[in-house]
Amino acid sequence: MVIHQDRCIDCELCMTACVTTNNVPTYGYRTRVLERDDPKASERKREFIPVLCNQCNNPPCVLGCPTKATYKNPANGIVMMESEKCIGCKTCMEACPYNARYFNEETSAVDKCDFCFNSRLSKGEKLTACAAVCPAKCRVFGDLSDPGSEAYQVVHNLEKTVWVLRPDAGAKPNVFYMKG
Amino acid sequence: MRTRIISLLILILAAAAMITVYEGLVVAEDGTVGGGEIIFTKPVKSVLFSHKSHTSMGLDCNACHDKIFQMQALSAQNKADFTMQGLYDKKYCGSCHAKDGMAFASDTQCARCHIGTKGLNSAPKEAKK
Repeated sequence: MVIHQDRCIDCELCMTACVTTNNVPTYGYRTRVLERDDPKASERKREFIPVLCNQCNNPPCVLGCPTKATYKNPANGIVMMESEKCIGCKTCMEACPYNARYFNEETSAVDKCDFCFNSRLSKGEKLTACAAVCPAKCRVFGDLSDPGSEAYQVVHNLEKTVWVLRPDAGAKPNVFYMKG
Repeated sequence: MRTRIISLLILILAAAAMITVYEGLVVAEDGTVGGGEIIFTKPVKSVLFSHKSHTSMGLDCNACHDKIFQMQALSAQNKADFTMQGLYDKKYCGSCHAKDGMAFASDTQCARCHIGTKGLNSAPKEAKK
């Protein structure tokens, strides 16, 4: 996924869509929109940053999980949860550099964004619920290994700066950010 | 007895009418001229319109009322064309906020108006800056 950060207006339609699509409880989240103010900025003083699981290539949560309840799907690269195996130790929550996981009381397991794999992609949909609903086309969802996908082309556009959140964590995230 | 009931009825109706007008005007907290801060909630949440920042630039009420916006606050958001596309078509805010308009174009500086859902609570503070 590629996020055009400056397009986000914090309307939170993505959060609402995610909650209804994936049965996220009120105390939990799979995606959020952070905000920060920069009073010194000349034009845009408030900035919004949509965040979600980065589906890392080197996922600290997977490394930390003692029961292999969370794993990286070799077919599509999505970091998935197998709720039945989860013992609720929350090691993955501590390990995640992006704070992208929460403990679901109903399922007694940690829950996280799976790019809507269970709710949409596995049923033939091409987009995540958040990407589909975004009125500002902030989130570009696609296969980063497919040169034909928009996500691939946006990330590999040399004219624009693309970055990831917390690169120092070394998790090799797959959610890229850019402006413009 | 009957006249008393009728006069009472008239009184109640007058009071109700006054309340409606008062609601429509949305008097600013500090009592300044204009309708205070308007926060639209449709079609997306949290879009700020500040009367103060517009009137302080020298615009008078007639500049927008009633041709572009009705006096009744938030009435615009119930219209189907109150969208970004509508603004690009020079309706509503787009009357001035256009590429060749007198103010910054609607497709630039998103967060000047879209203050964010979390910004709803901090909006009055924001507007006083």
